[in-house]
Amino acid sequence: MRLPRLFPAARDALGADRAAQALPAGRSAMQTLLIAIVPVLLPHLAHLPGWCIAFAGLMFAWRAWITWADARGDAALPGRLLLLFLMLAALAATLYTHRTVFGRDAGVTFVTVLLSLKLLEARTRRDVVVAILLSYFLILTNFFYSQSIGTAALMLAALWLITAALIAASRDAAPMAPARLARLAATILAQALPMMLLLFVLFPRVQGPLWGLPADARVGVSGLSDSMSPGLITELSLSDGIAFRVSFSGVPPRGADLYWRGPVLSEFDGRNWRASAPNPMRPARFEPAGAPVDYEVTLEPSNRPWLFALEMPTRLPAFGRLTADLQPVTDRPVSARLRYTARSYPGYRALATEESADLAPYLALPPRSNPRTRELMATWQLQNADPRALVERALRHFRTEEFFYTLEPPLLDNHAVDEFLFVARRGFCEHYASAFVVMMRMARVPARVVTGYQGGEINPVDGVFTVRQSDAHAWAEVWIAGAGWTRVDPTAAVSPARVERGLSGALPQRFAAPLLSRLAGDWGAQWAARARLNWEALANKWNQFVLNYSPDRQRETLERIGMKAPTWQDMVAAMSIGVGLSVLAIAAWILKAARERDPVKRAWLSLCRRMARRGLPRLPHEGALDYAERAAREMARRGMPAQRAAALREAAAAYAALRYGRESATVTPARFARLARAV
Amino acid sequence: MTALAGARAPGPDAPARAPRARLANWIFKPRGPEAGEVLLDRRRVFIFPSRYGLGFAVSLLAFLAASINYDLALGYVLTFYLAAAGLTAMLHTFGNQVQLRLSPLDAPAVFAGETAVFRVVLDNRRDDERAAIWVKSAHAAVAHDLPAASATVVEVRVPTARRGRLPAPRLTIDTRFPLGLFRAWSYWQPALDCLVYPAPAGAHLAFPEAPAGSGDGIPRGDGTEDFAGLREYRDTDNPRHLAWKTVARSLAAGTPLLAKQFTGAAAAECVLDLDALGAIPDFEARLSRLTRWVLDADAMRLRYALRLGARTLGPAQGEAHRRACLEALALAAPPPAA
Repeated sequence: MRLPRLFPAARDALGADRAAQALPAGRSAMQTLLIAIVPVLLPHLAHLPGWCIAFAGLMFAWRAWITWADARGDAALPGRLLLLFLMLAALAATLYTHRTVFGRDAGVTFVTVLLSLKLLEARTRRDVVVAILLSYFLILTNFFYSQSIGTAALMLAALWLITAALIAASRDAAPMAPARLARLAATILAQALPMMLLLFVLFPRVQGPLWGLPADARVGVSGLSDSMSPGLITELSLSDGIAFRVSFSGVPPRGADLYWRGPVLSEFDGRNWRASAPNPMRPARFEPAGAPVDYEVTLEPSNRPWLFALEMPTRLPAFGRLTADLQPVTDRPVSARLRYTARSYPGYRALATEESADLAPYLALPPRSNPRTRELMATWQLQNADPRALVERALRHFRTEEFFYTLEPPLLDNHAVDEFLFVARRGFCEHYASAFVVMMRMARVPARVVTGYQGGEINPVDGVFTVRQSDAHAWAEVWIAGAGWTRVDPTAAVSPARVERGLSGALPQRFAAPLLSRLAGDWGAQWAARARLNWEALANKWNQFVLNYSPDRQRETLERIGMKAPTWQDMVAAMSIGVGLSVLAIAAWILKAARERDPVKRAWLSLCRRMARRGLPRLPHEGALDYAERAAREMARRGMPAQRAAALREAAAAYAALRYGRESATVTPARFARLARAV
Repeated sequence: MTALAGARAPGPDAPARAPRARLANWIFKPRGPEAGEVLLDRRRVFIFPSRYGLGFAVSLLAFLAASINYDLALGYVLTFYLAAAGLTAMLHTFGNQVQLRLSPLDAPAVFAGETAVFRVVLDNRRDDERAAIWVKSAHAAVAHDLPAASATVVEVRVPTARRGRLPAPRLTIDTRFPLGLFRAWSYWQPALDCLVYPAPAGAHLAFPEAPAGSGDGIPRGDGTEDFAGLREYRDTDNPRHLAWKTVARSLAAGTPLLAKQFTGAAAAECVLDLDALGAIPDFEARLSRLTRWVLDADAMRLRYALRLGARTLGPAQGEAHRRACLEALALAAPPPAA
């Protein structure tokens, strides 16, 4: 480090001396750091590759053995050559697993092995500090995967322990007792807390990303897809992941009205349903009717450009619009939690007329597929060709024949609809929606599959609806002349509870009840349900106020506390003032502890300091009276005014009386302080 | 450091470095040697980020960039928490040093070539330990943990090469505790001198023969005191006559201690004269020789006088005389350059 030669002392300040490099308390720092690494790496076990867990675990165990059990101490650390070899091997393994060392997963893998090797070569303070900075970074990487309250609590513990390790590494003479180490780290973090909150609230937020997100930044976000292949999936995952949360400003609609519209699938190739290419020329057409519903949606990132709204929204946020298929979308994939308000009319009527050419795609079917269904539909058509009658007939068919709702359907072969309708007769919403739309198209009724979410769970604690990935649903729409696109939910015919009460109502108990309630019975179930609802209300607050603190939210919050139209300059100014005040508050606290408590002693020391500045320091062996006598003589010799010498004598006499004399009414600390100031 | 020294005592090249020296003067206010207790008040404690502090700050910038890019709310929390903890630790580091009281204690005299030990007192009146306080000089750096509400005596070791008065070096008192991200430091030069005696010349040099008829008026005994043998030590014996070399053996064997016995009834006397050593060209070497003799004469409990040019000490005997002689030797002014 070269600094301008103007500041040799600053260069000195940066610690050029080598003596400071030795680390007498190294063992205690290393022990603390090894303990701190446990909570940092624990959540990463879920996504680190197996070889990395084994490798890093081995290295940490090796280092722990040397630190705790090996009498040779750091002398037992492996040589540089071996470490270099291990490093190259780990790099090769990372490249082999991830094909890169950049990006989220590869980065975490690489930093983990890097840390494990750094610890094995840590001999000096510099090595330990680098390892500590790497550990702080590993805390950050955990937030790529989860930012839940639990993760935050675990990482707070990690932060505390790593900070304790940093304190241990700053001890130069003797190591510190673990309990004092922990207490000092906690003190520092507690004192820093208000400043952190200030920075969090006031630091001007920038909408990311600054640079391109690596391709894997958002993998693992489950959700709906823009295609559907009933019969290929034999088990639908019951992901508890949250798709979005909704708070209604009025009375929430009935469960049967809670259809959250997503991608509309209209192209069918016999196996897969796909969304048709969007046609920007065709406008979205429907007529609002009935009472409106106003609500606010907090959408979890899905990496898809879809918004979700109740059927059918008339008001969407500025960044959203309705496609011709009446699906609410936005321009960019939703890569961060998004909040918006919307208004919907559940009693809408899609009365608008469509040209017959426009309807052609909703009648298309692959030729020669599903002959038995085709045959059945031809029979029905002969009996009653009216679309409404055909819809009724199909729904009655599902209801009266032996159809079952299950999440574990059998695989279906090429003529998937035939096999579903005549053989298997069991499936979940996708099977029913798909079969129903195929049946309608065979009967020359335009129809399409609509996917989205159905239902949601209201939290009585805060009244917020939570819609989960497991609430994903598929239903159908048929075109009826005069009525327009009409929603038909064939799943409801088979399992009305699925629509009325959500998924858990449709399934046997084994699927729906949490483990705890199955073990503890009724009372336990109630308790568990209440605890879960409270927890989720808290989690929602956490999402709203912590995780979703976006530039918009920041402006909103600051305006609520009284800043009018805050610019980033205002925020920086407020932040600087706030941080400055916090620093002063902590400084006052710390300096108070460092100062002489006794006011008399303080005044006397201040007097002595002033005298020393005038060239008359008190000698270490001199008492107050001797000193005053000598100083007065010296002052007289220098020709200073006699009253000053007299003032000094008087102050010294008062001090001696206060310190060593009897208690007296005339000599009080206040009087002494006055005398001392007068000198 | 050199710039500061230059600031205090501007050398021949002072004009060239004057602006920098003035700036350093203005910032660090060098005070020179200070007698009496020194309180490290706010104005005397400087603070600046350490190298680790700079590394920490750069890391935090990277954390912030990652948090913005990936929109990690908890990433922001972590970054801001670390920044706030760093600032808090700055105040702790400052508090660890400020209000510390320093005072000089003593510096026992040594012979040139030995290590001078300046003892200073670090008085911590806080109700809390002050950890990892470094006391640094140009020669050594030692860290001390100062327990709560107590004074600690700290030794500063300085190697010596030349006789004379060795002033205590300017000390840097510094600390980075608790997080090591900041370094607080103060300068202090205690007003302590260590008296450095000349290095004694090689052992067992014969005492000088008194020049015949020197007429200096110093009464002399009838010969140098001769070592006559050992006998049992008696309580009334001068401890100086104890045969120290045999003490360990005696104690181990449980036999009585032995005392040296000398011939001659009265203590012998000798004169140690600088000018009589004219044969040795080097002035310092002559002082070294005299130092050796003073030590030997004292060990043998002789009465001796030391003559340095016009100044004569003694004849006398004992600790005080020995110290006076050595001090005179340490401070003897060299003759005008020949």
